[in-house]
Amino acid sequence: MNRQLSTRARIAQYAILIAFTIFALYPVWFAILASGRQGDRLYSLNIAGMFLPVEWTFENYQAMLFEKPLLGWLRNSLYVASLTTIASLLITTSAAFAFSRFRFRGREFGLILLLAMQTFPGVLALIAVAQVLTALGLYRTHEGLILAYTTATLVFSTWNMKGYFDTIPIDLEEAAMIDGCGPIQSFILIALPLARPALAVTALLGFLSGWGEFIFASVLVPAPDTMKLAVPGLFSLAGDQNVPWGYFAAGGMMIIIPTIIVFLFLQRQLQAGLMAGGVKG
Amino acid sequence: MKTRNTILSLLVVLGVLLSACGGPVATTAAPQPTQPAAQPTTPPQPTEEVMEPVTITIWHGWAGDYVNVIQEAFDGYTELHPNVTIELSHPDDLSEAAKVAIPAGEGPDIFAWVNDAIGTQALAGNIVSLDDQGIDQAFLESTYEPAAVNGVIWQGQIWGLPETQEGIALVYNKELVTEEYLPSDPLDFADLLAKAEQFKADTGLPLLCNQGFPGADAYHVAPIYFGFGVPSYVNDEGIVSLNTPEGVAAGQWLLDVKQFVDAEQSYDICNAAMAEGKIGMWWTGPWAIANLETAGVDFGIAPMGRPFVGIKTLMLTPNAVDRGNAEVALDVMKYFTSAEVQAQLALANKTIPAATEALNDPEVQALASLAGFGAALNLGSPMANTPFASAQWQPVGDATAAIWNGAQTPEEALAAAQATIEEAIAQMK
Amino acid sequence: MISWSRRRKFLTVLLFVAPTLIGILLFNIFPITLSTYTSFTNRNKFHPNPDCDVGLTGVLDPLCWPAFRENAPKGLAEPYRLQDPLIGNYQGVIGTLFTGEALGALLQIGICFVPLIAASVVNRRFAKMASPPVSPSVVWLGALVLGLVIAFALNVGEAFGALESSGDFFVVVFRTILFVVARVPLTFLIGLTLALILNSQYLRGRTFFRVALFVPWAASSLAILMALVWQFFFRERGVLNQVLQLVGLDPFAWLSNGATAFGAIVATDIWFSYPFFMLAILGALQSIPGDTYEAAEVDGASYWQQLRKITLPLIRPAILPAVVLTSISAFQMFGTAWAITRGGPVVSAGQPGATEFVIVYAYKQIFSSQNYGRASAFAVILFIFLFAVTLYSLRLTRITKGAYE
Repeated sequence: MNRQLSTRARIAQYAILIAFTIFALYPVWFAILASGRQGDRLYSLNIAGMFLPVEWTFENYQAMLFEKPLLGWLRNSLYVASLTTIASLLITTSAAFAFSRFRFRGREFGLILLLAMQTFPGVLALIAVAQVLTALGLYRTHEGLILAYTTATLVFSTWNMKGYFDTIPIDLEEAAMIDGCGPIQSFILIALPLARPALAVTALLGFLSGWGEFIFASVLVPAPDTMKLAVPGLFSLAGDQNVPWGYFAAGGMMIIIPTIIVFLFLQRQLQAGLMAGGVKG
Repeated sequence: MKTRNTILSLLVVLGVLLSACGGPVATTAAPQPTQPAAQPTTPPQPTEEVMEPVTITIWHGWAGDYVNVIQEAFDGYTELHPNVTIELSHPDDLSEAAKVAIPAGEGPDIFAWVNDAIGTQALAGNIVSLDDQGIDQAFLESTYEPAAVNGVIWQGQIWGLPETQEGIALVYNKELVTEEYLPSDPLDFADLLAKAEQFKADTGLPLLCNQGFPGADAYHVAPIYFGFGVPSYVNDEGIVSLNTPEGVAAGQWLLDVKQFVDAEQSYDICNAAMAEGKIGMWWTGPWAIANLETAGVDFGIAPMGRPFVGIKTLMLTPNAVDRGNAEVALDVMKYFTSAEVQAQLALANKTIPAATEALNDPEVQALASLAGFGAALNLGSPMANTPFASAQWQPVGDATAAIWNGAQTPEEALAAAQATIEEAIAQMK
Repeated sequence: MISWSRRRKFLTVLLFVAPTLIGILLFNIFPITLSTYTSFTNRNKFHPNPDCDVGLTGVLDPLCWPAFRENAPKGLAEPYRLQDPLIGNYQGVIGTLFTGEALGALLQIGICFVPLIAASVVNRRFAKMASPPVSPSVVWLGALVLGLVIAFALNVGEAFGALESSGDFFVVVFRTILFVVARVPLTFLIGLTLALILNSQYLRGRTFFRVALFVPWAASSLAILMALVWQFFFRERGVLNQVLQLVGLDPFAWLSNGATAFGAIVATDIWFSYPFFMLAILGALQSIPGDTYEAAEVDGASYWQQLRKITLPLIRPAILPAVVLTSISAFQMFGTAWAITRGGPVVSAGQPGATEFVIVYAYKQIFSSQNYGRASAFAVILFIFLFAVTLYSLRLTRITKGAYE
């Protein structure tokens, strides 16, 4: 709302903003602090060490980068996440376009089916999915994982894109069709370019689901060590008993910070895409 | 818009580039399930004469710095047999990964795990009996300690080769814990309680740290329950002995000792506290010693209670048999569990070997850790490898947690645990 | 579509939708079918492998497919069979809820909600009248009071206890619903507040705050790690206790107490999820034309009135689907709860822990106890329940409409 506010209100606003900024940033800051601390000394911290870098060493980062195959894991994750993004974009946009534009029998049924599939707890389907992939010969490969992740993003992305397509007026395409344009052409030439913000959302969600996911990756690509993705690889450093906090935090930081950067870059498109996509009644 | 497009295309390009780099690694892992693995099989001959390359995959549960020394041991085997490559891998959830991988033919050749897994894995068909591979009782008894031999036999068949034995004992800080605070008798818990009280009064620090106290770890509280006289959580016939006067007494002891120790305990907490001299004793096993040595703690080991004696075992999978790697894999297993290798590992990792000759090696005998842990193992109770035993962990851990939290009294908690285990066992039959 | 042959239309639709359909068939429908089948068997640790000669097992279980049949592990255990009676697992999961006692308890609790339903009906009637005799808020208040009175009269607490002791299902589902009810409105409120503040044009440093407040969602890619960080805050020697000690208060074992452990998980989950709401509401806010507010101001409306009468109703169609979807996924919360409490401070052996939500419970059943049959029955019941809720919410929001309707 565009109005001048009283000073009291503005102070209140800034106070709330600052409080929540601290709430938002402190855990990440803490993880950064932990990554600079040696070994397992997380548990005997004094109060100062929890807020300020009392001691700092790059030892953890060095170990993670050069001794452990973290770079290899990151590379694997990048591969899986990028291909998931592309596959997700291709599949969900085409399906969403069909659900939005075409009238065919089973359209509503298809949409409800999509939504219903999401309500089944994914964790329980894990072993079945693993065996399906094995039957396809894709067990222990990155491609199998990409397939699994793409299907995981199907529901939300299709709904989101469909909603966005709904807000694009159909007159453009009808005009094009009078001129002899087929549906595929109107999809590629008209609808897609107009749907860029929602495309950004879908791309980002696809990327994220491939980047940080843990359970599926740890069962579907359990070995060898060089093939693991980033997060399961990181967790395999933990033994049954000990959790190497320093390594975890360092590795974790190296995994999170690129994500944050990509996010920040895309956040403008994100906002536009979330606003109109799938959320207008 | 433009920047987003550039980023997306960059991602695509990166992805394609990396797929080119990551290609060779990915493709070797995708053979068809019905065909043997991509590596050529070895004919059944003594391995020294074979020149064809063989790769043996091992999935293990070793962690931390342990693995480095173990890797060197396997490198020693590769020097002797240059055509054999040994791949070590640590999957996150060994059981689940095995369950999917083995039917697909993509499992490892060897499992390295504690012997309580034998029952479950044998039932599921994920490991093969070694009797068919030429290992017999005589070989076992002549090479390994009797407790270890017992640990790998189930239902009359041999399922693995033992490598180390482990059990937990009190690892104490010699500077903080002087003679007067050491337990006089490993089975006298009242004495330990009194000494804990006194230590707290004198130094203000807790005497004990045990990650099993807050519950959820039936392995680490076992010395207490068994020390009080509980014969076992579940015996081989499936009879549960928790809700007994001895069990309740043990539960009560836990409540009593809580006043003198920290309420929150875990491996990390105990590790850090021990390294910084903030606790007197850490109730743990040989795996923790390396850390303490790095931290420069002058430690001693005292047995207490009747801990579980776990046998770390190497097991063979049906995938190895199908691929024709069984002979080579068995040879690797024998090599790793042999006295020479285990003696070296014992010196480096402070573990207790299962091979008799390694145990009797004078250098190994001279290890301080051996004396302390060895005494604990002598008092200990073998870890059952029957599937019944797998029903015991969660309920006992929960009962201990309930006692520690104060959510239930020892009687209630153990009664509930007993009921749960019995119900689970009824479902098993 | 203009002048299309039916066959061409069919092919085109198929082209667009086929990949999605195949994906769902393989990775969603098949696992659900397999799980449903498993829920009728006694598959567990002691009967892990299938008996491929039984009809349906041979078709459904991947281990019986031709590619795997020879390599299928042949363990020492018996193969699993269909349950006898067939719905044995289901009986085990919710059977106790159908006894007279439990049903009576449910009825007791249900009666307490009758005044509220009556109030909504009455309000709808009043809304159509030009000048209702009683204002809607008074009606709601009256209904609430009446409901509470009935609750006391019927001794709802006892009914509750009876339900809780009837088995795991009710306890776990109720706890999860409680979690959703606690988490979603709070997250919405926080998102709303922040979005409202960030929406005003006279704010300095807007971009910085927007970016900073967004970080938790970006960090959620490594949700497990950040959840572990949060767990550390609540430990006995963690940040919260250290701060308390600094100001002279006693440390508290947050994770050992059921209620505070619950609160810890709610707090952590709010941290992960408020940016989504913040962004969605911000976008919706920016689509409201400024003239509406100016007109309202000319009419002399105050800030709160504008908020209630203009802003909220206008963003409602945009936000409602998001709320529904978030509630459903909050119901299925797993990672955070597992990382922080592993199912929560233990209440007793054999009982679900204090923060054992639905998926945590199912996960434990599968991976710790390996009780596949039971766990699958639980999952199927849950699936039916959630599906019904989703269908109902779809009718509420009518979001299945396409571009032509």
